[in-house]
Amino acid sequence: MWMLNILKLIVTGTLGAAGFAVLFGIKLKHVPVAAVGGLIATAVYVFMDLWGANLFLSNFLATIVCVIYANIFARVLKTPSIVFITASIIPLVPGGSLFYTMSNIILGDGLAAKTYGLNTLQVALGIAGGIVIESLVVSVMLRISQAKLTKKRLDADK
Amino acid sequence: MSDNISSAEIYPNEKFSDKLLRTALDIAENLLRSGGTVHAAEDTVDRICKAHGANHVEVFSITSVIIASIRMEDGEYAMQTRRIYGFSNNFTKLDSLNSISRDLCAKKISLDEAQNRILKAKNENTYSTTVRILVSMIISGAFALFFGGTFLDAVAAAVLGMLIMVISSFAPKALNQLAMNLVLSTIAGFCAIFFTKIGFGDNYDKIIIGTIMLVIPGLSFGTSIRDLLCGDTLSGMLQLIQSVLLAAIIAFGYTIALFCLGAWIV
Repeated sequence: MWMLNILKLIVTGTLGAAGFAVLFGIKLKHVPVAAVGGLIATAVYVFMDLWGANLFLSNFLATIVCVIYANIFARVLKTPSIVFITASIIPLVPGGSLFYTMSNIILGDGLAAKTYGLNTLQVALGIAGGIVIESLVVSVMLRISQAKLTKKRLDADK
Repeated sequence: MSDNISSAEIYPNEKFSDKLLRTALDIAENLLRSGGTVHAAEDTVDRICKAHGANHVEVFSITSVIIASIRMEDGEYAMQTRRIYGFSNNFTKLDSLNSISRDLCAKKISLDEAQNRILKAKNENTYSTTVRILVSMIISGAFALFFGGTFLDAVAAAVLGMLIMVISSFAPKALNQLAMNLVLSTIAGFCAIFFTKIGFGDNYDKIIIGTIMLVIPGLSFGTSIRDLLCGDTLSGMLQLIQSVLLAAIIAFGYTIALFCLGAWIV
């Protein structure tokens, strides 16, 4: 039964990511790439969750994996990587808990609002942390490759 | 308005620095409008101007405004600002703007050519309304299942997702975004409770969660925190407040439905 449940989560997560890829106006030939990104994100998240990791850690790791994937395909297909990142992390996005937080604040249930709010913040921080790590690594790598390029040019000038 | 800024012919005696900055800002403005990051917009202006002979470039951008000034090698000086009213994710446009800026930096195309390509990219249409409506049905159905609803919930959520997309695609564009979302979520809330009452759906909250993924700013909540961590504090804060407010408004809309029909459901 739990296998079926995992399968359901992964299939629906992938469908959701593919759907949002279309709503975000990604080119049709790039939509499958984004959908697989969503699949990877959901799978990592689900298995981390099964393993017992907390919300922050599982979202952090899922984001990192899917950001690496997105960067590889962004280089291959010559598209900005944000295109694939945005669509792939859709299944991780804390839409449900953000909604529960706000509705509990409106209904005056402080305890539930605090729990859901904490969840939302954990997930959002996990996703943001993953993307920050990516931009750090990419900028360092860019700087290294640029330094190599200028060195090559200087050598050629000599 | 900024719609006619992009036509190259209307400024016959324009200085080169002004023209350069105008082109760079056209690209940056459209990047922000189609869902690009603040960092990418600033970077684009900086690279394009430096590649075309600007000695000194200063750019500051938040999600709703870009301020930029450049000084050329001969001392010519130009400064322009742009105001951005809202954005909607359009990654095809983002992609072509990116390639225009790359070509411009590599000096493969002239400024006039870039202007023409920006105009073309602006009018690039993506998927038709019918496709978007169908896709939003799939999304809301999938997320109703994802968050633990039954199959019947998914079907009900798909119907509501269609309703939300139809209303928001045919609504007047000038309407306040918060008011629009309040109306949408109230209607969806009433329908979700009504559907479960007549037996079309098992748990109304799962139906609501499925349809809510279409409108809730969960993504901009995440990106705003990313901006905060990356050092774009101001735009991060703006986006954070906007997304929290929008989430509150959406929750409020559903709560109205719960208050009105809550006694009826149990």
